[in-house]
Amino acid sequence: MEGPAVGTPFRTASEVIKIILGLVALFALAALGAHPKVRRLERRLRISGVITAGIPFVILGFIASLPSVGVMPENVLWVLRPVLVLALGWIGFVVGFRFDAAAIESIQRRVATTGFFVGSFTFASILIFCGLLLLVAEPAAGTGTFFRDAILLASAGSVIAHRGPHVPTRREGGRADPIWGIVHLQHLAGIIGLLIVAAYFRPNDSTMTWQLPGTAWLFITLGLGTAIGGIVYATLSSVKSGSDFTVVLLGSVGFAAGIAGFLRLSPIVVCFVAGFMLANLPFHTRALVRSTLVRLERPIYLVFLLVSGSLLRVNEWQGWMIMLLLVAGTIFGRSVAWEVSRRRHVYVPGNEEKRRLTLAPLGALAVAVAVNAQLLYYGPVIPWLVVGVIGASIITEILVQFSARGFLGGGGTAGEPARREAEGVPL
Amino acid sequence: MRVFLLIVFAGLMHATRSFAPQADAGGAGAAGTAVAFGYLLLSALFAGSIFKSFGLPRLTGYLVTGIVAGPQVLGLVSMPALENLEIFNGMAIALIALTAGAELGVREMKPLLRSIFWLIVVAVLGVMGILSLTIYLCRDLLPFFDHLTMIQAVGVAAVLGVTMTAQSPAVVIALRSEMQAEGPVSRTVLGVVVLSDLVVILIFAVVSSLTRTLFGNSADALETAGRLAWEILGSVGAGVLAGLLLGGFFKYVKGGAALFVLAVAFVMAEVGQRIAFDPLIIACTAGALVRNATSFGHKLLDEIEGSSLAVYVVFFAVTGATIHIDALRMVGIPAAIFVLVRGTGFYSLTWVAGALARAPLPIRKYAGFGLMPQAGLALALALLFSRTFPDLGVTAAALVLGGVAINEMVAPVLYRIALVRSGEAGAANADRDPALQGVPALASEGEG
Repeated sequence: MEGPAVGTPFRTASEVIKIILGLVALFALAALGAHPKVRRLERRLRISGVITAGIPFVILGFIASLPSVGVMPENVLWVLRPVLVLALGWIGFVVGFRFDAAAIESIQRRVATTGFFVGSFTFASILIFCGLLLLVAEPAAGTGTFFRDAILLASAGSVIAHRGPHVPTRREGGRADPIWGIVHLQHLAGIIGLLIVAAYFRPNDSTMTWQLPGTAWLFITLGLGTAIGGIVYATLSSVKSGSDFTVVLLGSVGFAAGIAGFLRLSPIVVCFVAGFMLANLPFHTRALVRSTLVRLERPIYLVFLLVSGSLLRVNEWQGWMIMLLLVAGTIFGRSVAWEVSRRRHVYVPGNEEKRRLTLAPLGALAVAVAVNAQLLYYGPVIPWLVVGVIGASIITEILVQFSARGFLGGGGTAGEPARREAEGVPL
Repeated sequence: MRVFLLIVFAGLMHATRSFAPQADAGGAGAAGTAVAFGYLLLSALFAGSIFKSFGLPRLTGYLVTGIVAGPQVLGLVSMPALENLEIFNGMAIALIALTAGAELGVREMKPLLRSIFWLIVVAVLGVMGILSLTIYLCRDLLPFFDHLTMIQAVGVAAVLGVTMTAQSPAVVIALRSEMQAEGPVSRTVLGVVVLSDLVVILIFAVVSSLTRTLFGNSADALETAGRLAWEILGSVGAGVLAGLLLGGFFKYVKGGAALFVLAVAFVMAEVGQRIAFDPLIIACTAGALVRNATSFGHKLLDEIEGSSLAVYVVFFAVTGATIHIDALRMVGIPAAIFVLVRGTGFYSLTWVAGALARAPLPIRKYAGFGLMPQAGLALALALLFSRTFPDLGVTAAALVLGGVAINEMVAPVLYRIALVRSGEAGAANADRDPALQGVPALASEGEG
């Protein structure tokens, strides 16, 4: 979204009414999409994976933003920007809350090594694949912007959706399932990449009064997340009822994400740290927090995808090339990681699991990383990034569904994955 | 602990704003709105619970948070952020009116109709007259009367009298819900404030049109009647449509209705005001239809209760932040006089109306306090007044705003005391389904 849209007046009452009704229809659809009955129908039709991943909502958002449809023009997107900030914070908080110490400790050392290989090789291969394209296509090639964009792409591409046909249930016999462990470790790659980019590649903004080195911003990000986590902990300890919990969580995430955005940091990372802190502090209302997060997770996620879809600017070839290279980079990087893991005698999944993991979708966190870049930085490359990451998310989502149904070789156990994937959104 | 947290929130907010003090637009605009949303939500919630522990209404805590954090005191929340957050206002008002409508069960209200009728005729219309007369008599204190002829002064006094009589269904519903109040006083007050809203709108339209003619502006009676008919009948029609939609959703979709209710409230507020409908009438009609024509009245109330706290907290905090403290400085003394006259008028005339209606003693004694809160409608009418009479509008509107500011702070406290003394506070929770007890309405009782 570009700055010039600020304050653009709505022309007529009928235009405003059309926009409001359109937006409400879209949001109502998002709510309906989250309804258990609709989800049961999706499962029966065996399209739950695609729907659960929110692909239709991205497409709807894109259609709504088309000038001929006119439901989400630039000025509406500008008004919706606070919703994006809140949604990014929410996604970061949910991912962070999932990283409780018990979950991490239950991941075996050799599985963690494999996870590290998967993350590193995927990150490196995307960096090379997409970096080469950016060198050719990016007008500012050779400057810090090139590294920033390449790291952002690699961070987004490293993430693997935490739910879907490629992920089994979390624990088997008291230990984390190895695949579950590998998938969750990839989230860290995305978060760390975004942390580094937001700290060391500061946007140029004359209104900022704090001029600090990148390392200071890195520690401010971690400190802010920790402080907010502590505050949320103290805040939650002093409320007891369900609706107050919702208000406190919404307020805390809005506050943390807003501060992060104000400081030109990543709301995802700050809220991730806050969620991580909260998950690892002892408190008796953990189940209530989890249920509140789960209750709001899907509607917020789907609304986020709607708005993300409206950010797509599909008329430049570079975005499509990035998409293809991102898919190729993830598949290549993961394949290399399996081979290295085999040679290093650490954990290597079975053939079927390996195939599914190689084709595993990027998930919502990857899309969030790209959208976060759009909020942080301006420039011609950022829209390519958004198209590339969202496009790659859709392609990998379709690939993994094909794989689960045996269309790409292998067994195909569509019934079981459908049950798994329907458990929630692929954050 | 709660005070400490409030200080921490304020400190963080101040530090954040010091980073980019001029950055309310541009890149930080969205973040500024998000941080203001989070800050107001958290601070107001805690301030509300602190106020509650002192026996004051939680919503007064929300309002005070807004005033203190707003641009006129500490300046922690900027004006552009507040303008962005005003999107919650329409939705909150629609939700409140939806609640009001859903509370208006014909069967339950029937025994109270006589009291409601007399309260509107005697107390509401009586206060309108008394206020108009007082404003006319005090015109020497008000500089905008200086150049008016006597007949013009009578007209302006009448318009201001009507404007200042407006009550606040929002505050009444919020307090009723917060106090879990149930009984003849809270029901009668609810009925009166909802119906007198319509009366005030109607009378304002007629009186302001007549007064315009005194200033040499032509007022087409047919045009005024047409505008009123469009606003009222159109709003009722839209409300019926919205009510059918809600009833249909509850019947056929079930579950997950909270988001749908919020979306409907958003449409009623945003679309309604853009086509000159009154969102309050639309939502109230929709709520009343769901309550009286379907079996989903309680379901609607439960859905609103479960999902609207965040909207209400932000709404009252934003309202507090936009209270015109500076208006009080300009017209503080006359505004205080009119507030006093208004309050005394409502209290004493409620006794008279109660006697005429042979209402039970608690209604005579306490219902008057429920008519005192003032907020949205008075502000909207003040705005309309300043648009209709641009030559004297700014100062005159400041007078209304000053009165609203005082009423917003004082009246909820008085009505809270009245609900406690009448014995109705907490009665709703005792009547509820045991499974729902402890599930908070507008505010929880949990944290004490």
